[in-house]
Amino acid sequence: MILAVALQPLLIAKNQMIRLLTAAWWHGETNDFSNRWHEIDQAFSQFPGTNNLAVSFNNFSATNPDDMRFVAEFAHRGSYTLYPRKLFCAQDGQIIAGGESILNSAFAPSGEWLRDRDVNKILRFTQRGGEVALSVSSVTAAKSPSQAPEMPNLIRGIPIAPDVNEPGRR
Amino acid sequence: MMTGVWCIIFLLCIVLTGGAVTLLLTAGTRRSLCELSGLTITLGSGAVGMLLLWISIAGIKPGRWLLLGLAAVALILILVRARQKRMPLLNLPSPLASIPNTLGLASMGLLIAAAIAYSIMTAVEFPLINWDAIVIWGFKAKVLYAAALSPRPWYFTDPRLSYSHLDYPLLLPMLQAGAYAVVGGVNEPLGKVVFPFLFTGQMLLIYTGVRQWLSRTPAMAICILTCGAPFVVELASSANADMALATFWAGAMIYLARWIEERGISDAIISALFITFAANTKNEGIAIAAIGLLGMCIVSFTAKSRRAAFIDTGIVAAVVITGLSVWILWRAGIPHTDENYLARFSWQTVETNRSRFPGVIIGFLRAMADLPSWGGLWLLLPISSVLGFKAFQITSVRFLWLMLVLHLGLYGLIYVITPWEVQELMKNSLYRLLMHVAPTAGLIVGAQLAAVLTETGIATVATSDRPKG
Repeated sequence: MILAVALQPLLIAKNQMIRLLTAAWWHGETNDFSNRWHEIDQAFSQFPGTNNLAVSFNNFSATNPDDMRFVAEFAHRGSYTLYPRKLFCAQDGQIIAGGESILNSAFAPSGEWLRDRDVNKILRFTQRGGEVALSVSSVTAAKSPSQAPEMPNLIRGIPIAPDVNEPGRR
Repeated sequence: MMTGVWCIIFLLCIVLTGGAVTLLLTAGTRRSLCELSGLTITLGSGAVGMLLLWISIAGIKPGRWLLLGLAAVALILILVRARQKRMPLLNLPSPLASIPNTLGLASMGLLIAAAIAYSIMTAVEFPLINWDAIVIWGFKAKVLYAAALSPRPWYFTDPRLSYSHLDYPLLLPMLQAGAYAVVGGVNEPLGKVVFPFLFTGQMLLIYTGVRQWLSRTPAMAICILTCGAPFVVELASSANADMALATFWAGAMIYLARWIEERGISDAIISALFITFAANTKNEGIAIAAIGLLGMCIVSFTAKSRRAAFIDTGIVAAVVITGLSVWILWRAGIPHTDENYLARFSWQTVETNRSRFPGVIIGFLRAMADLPSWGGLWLLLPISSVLGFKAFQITSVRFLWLMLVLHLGLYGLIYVITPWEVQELMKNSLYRLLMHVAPTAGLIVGAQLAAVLTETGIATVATSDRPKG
């Protein structure tokens, strides 16, 4: 009993997560610790306003764990960040349990569908040769001319490719 | 600066509400300072979460003035009770016996303080990091802060958000939403302030529970073994619901054990509140609430005054059912897109998956023997039960064992019937489930250790003595 209690501080000190968080706090890096979430938050913070957003993922595999994690992180954290605005990643009524179901949903909304849901921007992540490119296009009003593609500096380390401004284009 | 002040005011709201509930339930009974503090924190957190939930279902979202109003009503109640002199009788701590004892207590106190300091640091210095804490609990907190539950926010009806488990209980995110409301906006670190608060409450409750059988020094040692286990400390402020569930369930076990020994109706009602809070914290809480009520029925059958015991059990059941029914009724309109374990629970499924039993049992034993995660807690359980077998003569100890076995058995059965890949699921959830059971294990180790100490003449077991502080 005495041994067990005496051992406890040593075990706590050896715990990997406790050590990591304590070190991050000690070095004043509490925000850097969740860097990934900040990158995603910053990406979505570049779309202020009250409109909803949509996101699609091209050339990602529903059987690759890294791809599934990437997709889930962006779509789920994005939904959390944007609330009460909506981030659409699948058609209505589809059950999304994670990255796999997003990729299996083959989300290809039409311009009308997006306009009906007050979506004004589509974020398209495209994987090419192991790199992820992001392009953003605006959803235009039904009969108004297209706007120029917007390419905000979104995510560190992810090259941004230009895209044409066609609602619902994959 | 001001957000920090508002955060402290939020905690004061919890303390005042908890203080009022505690005074109402403990008036005229003898309680220690530790116990009253633990009850104030834990009952206050649960009561504020439940009240905000009910008010939100009635159509009013959490707000600063709402919480201040609640605190004002609580303060008035406290003052009225004080004026009427209807207060609990306070057991002041006795003087410390010897220098080694004092040194032992001081060093253990330092360790407890360090664990609490770590939980405060991870709560208020870091944003939400943990995946579940963000997509399940943090997301709900944001939704609950933004709008009342009537009319139902779109979040709860969109199956595209199924990963967020739309039908999970709302007590804990409601507390986070309450913190957001008082500080005036979504602030992830300050929203987590309730976690170190609950963690401290859990420590005070465990200490109080074990003091029923042990003197101060070994009681504090048990408290460290239970709440200071590395995995528990790691998860304390991760903003998952597991620590909160463990805290409320610890309270339920402590006061049910005391009810069994002393048959005080106030202890029965306190345990009923804790069971209700647990059931409103996680889905597992609903299942273990049923186990708690089953345990009370079994104890009532064997009680000397069977009728009185069954009346108390009925009161507890009524409180739990009432406390749970509001949310259950509101939840009825939410799409259930997760695995339905209750529907899968059939003899046929168990029979089909019986080959999983050895793997599940080995998985549990391996996890319990994981010294770096649990310290000596689970290893001391069999050792103390053999050496302190005389404690089995105490009804409340037999009850705690029954609860421990049923609780572990329930979780084991879930792994047997799950549609998921069982080893993968165990890898992701087993340690968190063991965390829910850990307080019961700690209480049992305390009771058995008391029997060992009595046997060896080191101390005497005092099952009916109130804790002395």
